[in-house]
Amino acid sequence: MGKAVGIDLGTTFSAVAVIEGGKPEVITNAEGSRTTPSVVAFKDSGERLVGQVAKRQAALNPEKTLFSVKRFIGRKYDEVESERSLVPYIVKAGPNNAVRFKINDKDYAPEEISAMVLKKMVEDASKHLGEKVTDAVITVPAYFNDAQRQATKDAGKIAGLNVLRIINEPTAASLAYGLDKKVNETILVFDLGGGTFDVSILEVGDGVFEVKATNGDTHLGGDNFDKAVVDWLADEFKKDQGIDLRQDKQALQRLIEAAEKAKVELSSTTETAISIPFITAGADGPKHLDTKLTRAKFDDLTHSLVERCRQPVKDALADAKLTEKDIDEIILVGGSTRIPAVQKLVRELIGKDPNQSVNPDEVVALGAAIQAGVLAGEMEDVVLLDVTPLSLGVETLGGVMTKIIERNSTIPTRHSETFSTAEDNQPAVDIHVLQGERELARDNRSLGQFKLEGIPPAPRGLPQIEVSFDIDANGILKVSAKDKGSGKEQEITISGSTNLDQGEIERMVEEAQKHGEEDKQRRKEVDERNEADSLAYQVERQLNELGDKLPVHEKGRLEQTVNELKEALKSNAPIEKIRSLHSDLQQAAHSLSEAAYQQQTAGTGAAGTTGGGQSQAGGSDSGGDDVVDAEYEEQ
Amino acid sequence: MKDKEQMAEELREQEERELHSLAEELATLKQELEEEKKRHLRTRADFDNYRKRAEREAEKAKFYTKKEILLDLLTFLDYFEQAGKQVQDPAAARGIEIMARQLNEFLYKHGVRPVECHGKPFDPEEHEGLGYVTTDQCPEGCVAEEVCSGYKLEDVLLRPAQVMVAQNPGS
Repeated sequence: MGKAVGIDLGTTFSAVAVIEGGKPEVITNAEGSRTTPSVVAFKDSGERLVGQVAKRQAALNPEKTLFSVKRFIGRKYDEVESERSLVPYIVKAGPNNAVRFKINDKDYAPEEISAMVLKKMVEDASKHLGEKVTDAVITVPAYFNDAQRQATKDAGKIAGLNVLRIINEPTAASLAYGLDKKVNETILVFDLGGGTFDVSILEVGDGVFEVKATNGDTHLGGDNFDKAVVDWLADEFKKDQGIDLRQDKQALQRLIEAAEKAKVELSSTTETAISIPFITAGADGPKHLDTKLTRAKFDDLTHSLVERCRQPVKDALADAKLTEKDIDEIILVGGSTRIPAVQKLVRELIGKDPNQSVNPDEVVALGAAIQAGVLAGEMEDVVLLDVTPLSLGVETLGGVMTKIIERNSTIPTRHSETFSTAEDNQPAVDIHVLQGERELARDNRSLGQFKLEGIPPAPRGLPQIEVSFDIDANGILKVSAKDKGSGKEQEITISGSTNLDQGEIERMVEEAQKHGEEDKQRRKEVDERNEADSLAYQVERQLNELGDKLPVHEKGRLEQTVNELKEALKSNAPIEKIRSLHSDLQQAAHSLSEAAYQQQTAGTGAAGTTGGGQSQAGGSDSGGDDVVDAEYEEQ
Repeated sequence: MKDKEQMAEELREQEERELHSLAEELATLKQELEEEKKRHLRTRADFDNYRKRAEREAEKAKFYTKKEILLDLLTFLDYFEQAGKQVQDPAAARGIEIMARQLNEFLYKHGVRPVECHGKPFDPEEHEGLGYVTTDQCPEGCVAEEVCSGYKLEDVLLRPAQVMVAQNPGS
């Protein structure tokens, strides 16, 4: 069996989603869009166009471009009189008074046209997934009757799909929010799409959804809002300049684009600029459109549209014999529910904040994909994987926390990093296991501590200590440290690294965010101190090796600077002092690098040019710019 | 005697029962192991496919980010073009022309190509038809007028050319 998908077959747009790794994802079509216009067109040659391409030629080919087919599916010719009058293509009565579209002397049933949309979506999805899509769950409005549902199912069959189930759009939206797990809740789904408005009230219990009432407005949507802005812009321009932009097709195109953009922007800002320079030319030269639209003005322009949503909600509540207090959850569906005035109306009517964490354009397709996943048995194989609620790591030089496993990593998982020593001939390292998000070790939770002993004498930075963190599926953490040189190993097992209560986790994450800036500062300071320490150490080593190659005064100056810096570090002097000594030492150390270079070229002859800088112990860079922090130094 | 025989018999029966239950358990475990193996393989395959697609998608995402930025830039090219048509003062018009050219060169360098349309047969893959104009300057069904120019990024459409299509008089 191939893949099963969920399809939101919409009046104006359709979307398809699939379960992947237990999560629903919307699939982009061949053109790279997450939604596909539900439009099918026929050329004179009989060739078919589906989606965006069909939409692009709609104005040229109105009689053979079928859109809003969903308004006709599964209905009798007599029932759709008002819809018929709104479309430019020919709608006629077929056998048994069924709706047929007449194209190039051929009759097409609405389900055939919907099948073409479904087929394109499924073909694009198959290509994207690299796996054939065979099964689908398709959504329909809650108010669809049996005939409409059957016709939608038939459309799926004509498209070559095994239709697993037809489900209600509001049910799909509820599934996307996981509300099927709720017991005896009442859900109101408010769906304001491109061209239709639907209100549905559902009751959920035992994973079963029951539709209590539906209402709506079959001709209200985002397009109406765009038009309100276009008209306002054109009217204002006419008042100021005496030119009607609606008469200029180029100007009108730009106006439509600008209006839609302004509408979208006003969902997140309270004012937006609408500027179209050189929009048209009058008798007295070029004309520009340059104006501002505030959200208040936009709300004013679209007030009557928003108000049209009010009565259907009230009627739906009345039909369900409920009051607004009986509603437990509100779900917003459709792009137009991003409009703040629409959200405000919903809050005002129900007195609750709506769920809106899922993209309202995609929520129905995502829910359908979940249903498809369950029916195709794809959800069974999904083992619920745990994640580490907080980061895990070890304390490193200067009391900072070095993270080994980042928070929200899926377990089981294993990560390791190699560190080194901070002192010459250091015989042991302390491994302090920490949990938390703060930069400094002391601000995090300590999980345990152990010592790896018996490291053979070596200059600092040379031993390689591999620290591994391994969390199994039960959340049991095993931390081990191994000296790669001697093979000595030590480990600790910590259970309960994942069983913090939610409140504790939230507190720790919140604190990390709150202290983020100051922690970063402190971390930076520690890093700087470590760098300075590392440089002092290197210079000291090189002085021991090469000191006699230097003029006495140079050597003396270097020794003094190294000692001053070491002293300053030891006494925990202010960071400004460390910084200035650090840069002094860097300056002074140049002569040392020169001496080192001369010695090497002298030692290896003419071929020695490639040998520079590589031969120092500890992998450190003699320039001092690139020194990494020591003790558990990252290799 | 009979008691002994009976006891031996019972013992044997018990052993057989135990053997039987152990065999059953073994079979169940084998089956479970088989299922787990299958599940493991499936997960591995899923992961592998996911990784491959993630790579492809990262490439795609890069492309689409570029596409978004270039698409926004095209708005400014439109302004320059409009300005070039409308500004009467020759020096100003020349300045605008230069700016438009530079922007054009920049876009070209990044792989943006104009959509050919004048006189071409209308093609919804690249053109968006706004309406018809009656003309005999151009064959029927071909693009007679470009209202807003279209562009492609490599061979992907950035935005279609918005066009008017020719309708010959008397047709």
